[in-house]
Amino acid sequence: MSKHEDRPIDLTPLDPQAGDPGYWDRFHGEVMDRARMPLARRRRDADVHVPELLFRWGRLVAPVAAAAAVLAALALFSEGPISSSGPVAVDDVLEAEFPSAELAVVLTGSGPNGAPQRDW
Amino acid sequence: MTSASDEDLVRASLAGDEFAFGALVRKHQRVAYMTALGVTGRPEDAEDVAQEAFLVALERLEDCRDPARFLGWLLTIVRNRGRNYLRREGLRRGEVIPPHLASGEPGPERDLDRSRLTASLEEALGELNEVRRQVVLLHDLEGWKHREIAETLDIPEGTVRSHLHFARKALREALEGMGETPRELDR
Repeated sequence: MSKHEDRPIDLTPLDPQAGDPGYWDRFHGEVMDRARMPLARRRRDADVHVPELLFRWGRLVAPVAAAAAVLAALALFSEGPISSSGPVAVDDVLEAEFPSAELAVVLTGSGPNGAPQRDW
Repeated sequence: MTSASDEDLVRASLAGDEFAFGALVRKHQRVAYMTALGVTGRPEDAEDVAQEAFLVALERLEDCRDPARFLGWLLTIVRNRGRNYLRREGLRRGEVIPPHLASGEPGPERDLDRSRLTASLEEALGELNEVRRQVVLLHDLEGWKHREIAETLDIPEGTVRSHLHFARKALREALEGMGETPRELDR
């Protein structure tokens, strides 16, 4: 390859600015004009603050909570009133929960063989 | 802002920062245009393609996985848009234009204020294939190094040198064939 062949050719006339000094400014301006909307959209998406997040969250959660409350109420009333067996004696409750020998100790205040219990 | 890295500018642009995106455009508009010119071979198409590419890049900025390598990613978009543009134009005109034959056919309004040398250069450039056009424009007009061109075009550095040599030779021959004396640079 000769030295002559490898010398670069002046391509500067292909630079649009060569015949139009304002070319790159105009190019830039045109791109930015068309980019304005997508950039604004990005700003809007990025500009979510805590109160707005809470508001958005509340808007989503409130209807769900209300619906759940309505469903719970419906379920409650459809089953009718909860049946009650009347007043419950303390003794009955304790008898149901404690072994009888220990219950006697608690209720009488004496030990299983009649020995006095220590003070409470 | 112009000295900020591409990484910073991309991150700010993701949040819609107009100055940051403006700086990205300003920084890379020349090379985007030259790459588009390398693909299409026509200045008026190159402008459309390069501008479109910036807007596509903005829309898909989340897809730029390595913001520090924004330029390589942008130029891939430019090349793809350029090829699609040629395909669409070919279909619209009912012609099949192989990219390497896409010759410069300047529009009448631009032709008026364009020097004969510029028109000849565009025509000569149109006779090169796409890769050689990109190589010669990036190297001889934009001042890119062989290594940088090799990286962006994903070809070996030796191939870049070879393309550059043959591109210059073909340009010189085409211009001489048109009766032009190519101006050479002392580099």
